[in-house]
Amino acid sequence: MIRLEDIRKSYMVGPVDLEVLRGVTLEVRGGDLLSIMGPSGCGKSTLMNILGLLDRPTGGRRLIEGREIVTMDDDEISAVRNATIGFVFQSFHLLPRLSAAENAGLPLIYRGLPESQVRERALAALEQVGMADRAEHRPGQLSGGQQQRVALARALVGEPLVILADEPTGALDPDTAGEVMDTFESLCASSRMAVIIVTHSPEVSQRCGRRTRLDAGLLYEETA
Amino acid sequence: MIRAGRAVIGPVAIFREAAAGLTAVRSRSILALFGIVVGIGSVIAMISVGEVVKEESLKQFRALGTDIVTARTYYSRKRSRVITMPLDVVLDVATDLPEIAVAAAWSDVSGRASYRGSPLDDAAMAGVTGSFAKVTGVALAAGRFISDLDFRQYFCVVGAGIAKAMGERGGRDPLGERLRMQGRLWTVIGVLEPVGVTRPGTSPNNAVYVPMTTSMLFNGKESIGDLRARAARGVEPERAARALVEWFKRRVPGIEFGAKTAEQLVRGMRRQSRLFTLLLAAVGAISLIVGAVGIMNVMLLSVSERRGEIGLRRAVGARRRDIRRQFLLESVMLCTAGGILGIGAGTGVAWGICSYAGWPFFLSISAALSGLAVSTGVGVFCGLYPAHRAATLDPIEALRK
Repeated sequence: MIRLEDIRKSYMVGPVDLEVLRGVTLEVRGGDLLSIMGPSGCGKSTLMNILGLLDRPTGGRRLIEGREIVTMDDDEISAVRNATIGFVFQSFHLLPRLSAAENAGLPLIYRGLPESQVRERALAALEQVGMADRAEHRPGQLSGGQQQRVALARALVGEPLVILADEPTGALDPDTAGEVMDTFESLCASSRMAVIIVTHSPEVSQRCGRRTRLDAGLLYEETA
Repeated sequence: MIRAGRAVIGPVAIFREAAAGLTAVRSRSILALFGIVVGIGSVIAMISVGEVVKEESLKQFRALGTDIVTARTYYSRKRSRVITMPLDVVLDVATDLPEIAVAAAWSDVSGRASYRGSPLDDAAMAGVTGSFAKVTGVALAAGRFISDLDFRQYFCVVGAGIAKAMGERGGRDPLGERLRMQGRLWTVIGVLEPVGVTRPGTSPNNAVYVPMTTSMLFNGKESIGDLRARAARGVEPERAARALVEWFKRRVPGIEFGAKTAEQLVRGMRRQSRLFTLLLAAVGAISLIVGAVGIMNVMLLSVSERRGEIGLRRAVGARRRDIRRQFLLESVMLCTAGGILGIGAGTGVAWGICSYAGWPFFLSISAALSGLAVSTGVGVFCGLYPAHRAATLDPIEALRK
């Protein structure tokens, strides 16, 4: 479904060519719940940005459903990102002046769907994460766990291939974190959607069906 | 599944997004708006007043008639004094000059008028020759007009406004009543019909016309400086004006004499008002520029404050042009709102000026529309650079806290 082949990424830091990713290969299949762990500064965020089509690798191939990304221009990549990727951030990144339903529907706005359809699907997505009764609340009126679930609704509203979650439980207490993980689990179990979670937390990683480790620019998968 | 087609965002969604963005910077937006409101407001006020004035002066000259020729004497350098028009020469104009149908002179007399012991505040006294009513087109409601045969008689003809004021002071029929002016009593021999449109100079409504020969007792013999005539039928007013000047110079050696047709006067007034409008437009433009700088500043601040939002929108699939359009639209909405407020404020000011000056006010649609267009243009101009900055922001950078 999504395939990374020998992905490399290096930055010029002054005169030094700093290689952050040195050939990452990863095959993500539908329904995967996959964790990426690793020490700070190991390139997890870089890998996430490349997976999420926000950044371009300096080498290697990215294939989404067999399609090569390299040849696309920014507009096409934006459209592919809109159709195939959902993001969940540690700090939620909800727009404070929009209601939960409007936040959840945001990706569909950029798909050019009619207003009524956006709202209908946003409400359905909120239902899926157990937030249907808070549809008209602003983010400021919601708890951290509730905000993250609205963000989750926003990530899945467009029925992407994969949800990329960057420390999704980092700002939450353990109980709420557990609930968010429950939601991820049931999502993977009930659909073809894959979830990739970048985390520091062994508890979070423990709950993932596939566990990987990024170390020195290379990705290793734990075999059970 | 993958869809890389060109998505089009619904118009309602676009406006909602932009409006939501604007409320985010509410107080600062209002401050920045002030400059736009003042700029557009002053432009609207100027254009409106200018158009009202133009319309008003045109109406005045239309009321006078296109065949009118106005003439006056000027200071003569050679003689170091103004050589005035002798009364007998004035009376000869119409008979001697085939180009002129009728001509009359008038001469203002200073001083106040009173009736039954109370002053008539607006009354303006003028000595006129007998053809004055014919030349200016005022009509009599009662009695008769001044005649050239009223030699040094203390007669007067009053305007409708004066007649009304006399009635308010307990007068019955003004005809035969007496006004006190210049320490003498003057018998009212005629009352004029009310005049709707005011003409240049004193309105006939407030005039007290007396025989020129009588006014000369107070102003002196050499007091005629203004002449008004009508061109004869079928004679070009310009030709009549030229003939009048030549004839006067021949009859009165050394006189500095000039004549203008109604058209020339209107042209002159138009030129003057155009200059006025240009000057005021420059003032408006400067305040608009100041306002524009403020708006651009607000937009730039808005972009840098909402980096996270921009990053997020890019992450969920907004293209650069979607971001650009959002910020551009915010800027346009901001400025257009300012423009609408400015049109309201400017119209109010114009209305105030017109009611103060006694001109009939009308809303200049073209001024309002151009105000709207200018404010929208300013919005686009001010939004372009900030919107470009927002659109080209690296989403990864923008998402980083």
